[in-house]
Amino acid sequence: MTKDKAVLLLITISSLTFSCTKFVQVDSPKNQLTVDNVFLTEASTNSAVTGIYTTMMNGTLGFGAIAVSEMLGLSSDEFINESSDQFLAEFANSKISVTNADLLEHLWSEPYLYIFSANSVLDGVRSSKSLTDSFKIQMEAEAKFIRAFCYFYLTNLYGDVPMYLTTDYQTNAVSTRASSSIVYAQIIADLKDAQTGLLNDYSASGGQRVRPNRSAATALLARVYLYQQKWDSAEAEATSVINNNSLYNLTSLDSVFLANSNEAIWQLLPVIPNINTVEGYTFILTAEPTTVSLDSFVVKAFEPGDARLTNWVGTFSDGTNTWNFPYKYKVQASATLTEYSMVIRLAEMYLIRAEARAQQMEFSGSESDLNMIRNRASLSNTTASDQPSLLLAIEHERQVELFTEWGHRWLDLKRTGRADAVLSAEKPTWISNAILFPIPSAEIQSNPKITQNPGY
Amino acid sequence: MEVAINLGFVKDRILLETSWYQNRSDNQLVGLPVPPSVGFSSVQANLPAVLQNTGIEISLNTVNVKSGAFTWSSYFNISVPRNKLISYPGLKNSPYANTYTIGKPISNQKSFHFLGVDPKTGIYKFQDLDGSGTGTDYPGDLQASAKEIGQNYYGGLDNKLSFKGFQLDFLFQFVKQTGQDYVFNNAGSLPGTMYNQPVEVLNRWQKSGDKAPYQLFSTGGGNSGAFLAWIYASYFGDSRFTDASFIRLKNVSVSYQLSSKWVKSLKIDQASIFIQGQNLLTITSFIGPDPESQVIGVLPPLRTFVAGIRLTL
Repeated sequence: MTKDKAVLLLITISSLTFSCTKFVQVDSPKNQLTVDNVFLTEASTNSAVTGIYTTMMNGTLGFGAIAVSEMLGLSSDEFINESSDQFLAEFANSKISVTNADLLEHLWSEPYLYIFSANSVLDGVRSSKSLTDSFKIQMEAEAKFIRAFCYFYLTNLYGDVPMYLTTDYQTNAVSTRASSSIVYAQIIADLKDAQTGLLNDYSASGGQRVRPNRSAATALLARVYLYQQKWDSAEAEATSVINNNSLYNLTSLDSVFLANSNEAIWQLLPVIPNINTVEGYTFILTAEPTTVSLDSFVVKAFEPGDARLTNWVGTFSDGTNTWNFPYKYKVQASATLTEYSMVIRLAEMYLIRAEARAQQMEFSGSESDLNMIRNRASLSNTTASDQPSLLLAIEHERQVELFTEWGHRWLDLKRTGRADAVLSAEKPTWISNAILFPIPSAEIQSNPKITQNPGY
Repeated sequence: MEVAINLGFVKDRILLETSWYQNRSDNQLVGLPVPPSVGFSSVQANLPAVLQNTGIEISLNTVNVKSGAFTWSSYFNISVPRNKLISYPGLKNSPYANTYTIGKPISNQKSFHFLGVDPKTGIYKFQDLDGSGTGTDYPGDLQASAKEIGQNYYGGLDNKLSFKGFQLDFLFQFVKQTGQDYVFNNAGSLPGTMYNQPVEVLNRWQKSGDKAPYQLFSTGGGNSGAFLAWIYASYFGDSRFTDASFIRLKNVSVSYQLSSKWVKSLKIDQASIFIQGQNLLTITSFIGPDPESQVIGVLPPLRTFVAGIRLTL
């Protein structure tokens, strides 16, 4: 009996002494990458960053692939909704509901997912002990560029938006909306860091223009300053890209949207097999349209002799009806990649500088920038020569140059305060409150501190 | 906590078992929803809520008749479950602020209160709580549903009758509950678009003054509001919930045991013939395939018959 008790005691003592750590701690899964492992090597860190672009392009309605161009084109006067998709119809009717699934999925959750990914990269890179300092700076710069790019669209679409700079979900989940000016200040700070940290050339992506470089950060910063009406800064940033003519030149109209064209500052690499860009896949009509067709407001806007009308607008007729479509991308489907999806290009820099100069009363400089774009489209020099006429000429030039690209038209009408004047004449359903999209109800449902925009 | 009492009367011909229970659970590990802007949809976290489940369960076993060759016994049981959210510190600022109400069952999710079809416009309307003129302001017009969603009580009644070689068994199942509405949870597409619809939506509003349970047909174009009203009714309204109570004759079985003398002469120990039927009859006001599951698009319980002969050699 006493012997048994002694053995039992021994077992108890030994299990008390040697327990816990060894039994309870589980090793990292062998078939998965955990955060600790991703930021150990340059290769896996690069994968974490480029994975963001892949996700952006993976899907035929994705934020990076087409959502911004298509939905903002419907909201403004660029697209006619030809689908039976009620949610797309809401964009066209200036009456987006808080339950709009396309809005929630592609224009809210998606950009925030990329912000989360960018913040994860920032957290991971900063705490990594094995990466070199120079590589860390470059990756942080790229993550900040992605974050700034997403917040730029978010604050333009929704006004004040929740702003997260870390992956701390417990804090993020109970945030309030940050005012648009605070978001813009963060965008500018991030883009300045991106300018410092990113490389001048495209060597990070093997010479392909599919990852943002220093000029991409400068170009986006020029746009941000323009939106903020900081004319001199906008002019300076645009000039810095335009002067980089060893990398960037205006090309002929039919080669602007080719992969790695000289006009491309940042393009996204298509990832869906057997199609090139989702824009080409969706917009080009070879049958009666089922998604969108180009609105006549765009077609009528071209001046006589504008080569862009013949080069960049296509028509399809089934014998009875004729539809127009954007024909900037020429490839609808092909296994050979010849076109990449354009995000930022040089022509916008000329138009930014033309506007910034007109606002600063530098009319001759403004005219010459505007004429660079007009002459390429076989148009004669502008006749506008004073500030009001130049600003209108630039608005018009942006409409016909940048149509159906990343919602430029919608964002232009919004930032210049011209949306009411232009859209109320064109759309019988237009209401002023439609200028800001509603915060999706799913967001308010899970975070009661988030308020709704007026009119929803 | 559970209290139970078992009573037997008349030499245990009447057996009554009664129990009452109450349990409270807190700190449940759940997939806590986070706002979509955070970058993902939920995290595993502890819920700081106290939930209470109480209930009464009664079963009654009686031998009603026992005289000579005839026996009739019954078995009756009933359960009355109740669920209540007792407390949730910080509910107002939690992801469940627009879902749960303290003091109500957690199945009573906040909804827009559905008022049926407006006879003038032919479109669904909802109760305007915040005085804004529409009944579909999120979250302003959300209110705890007046309908107690889930099972109020349920149980069964089983009877066994036997007379000489004959035996008859039948079982009734009954459930009093509020469940998912067939039409408003069909979640297919707007009635009026080119998709299949439940036949019930034919009973729709057509002209001013019509009193119909379903709104006008619409392809959703323009700004008629029909599409949004349908979204609200199908996803956010208390129109999603309906009475799904039912009484079902679940099982009937008749068997006859052949006389043993006669079968022994055939060198068989025992022989019986039987017939059984399942899901023979359902009494309900619920529209749709099955009030029990309320699920659309799956096979409801089938009515089956089995007949056979059982021999023991």
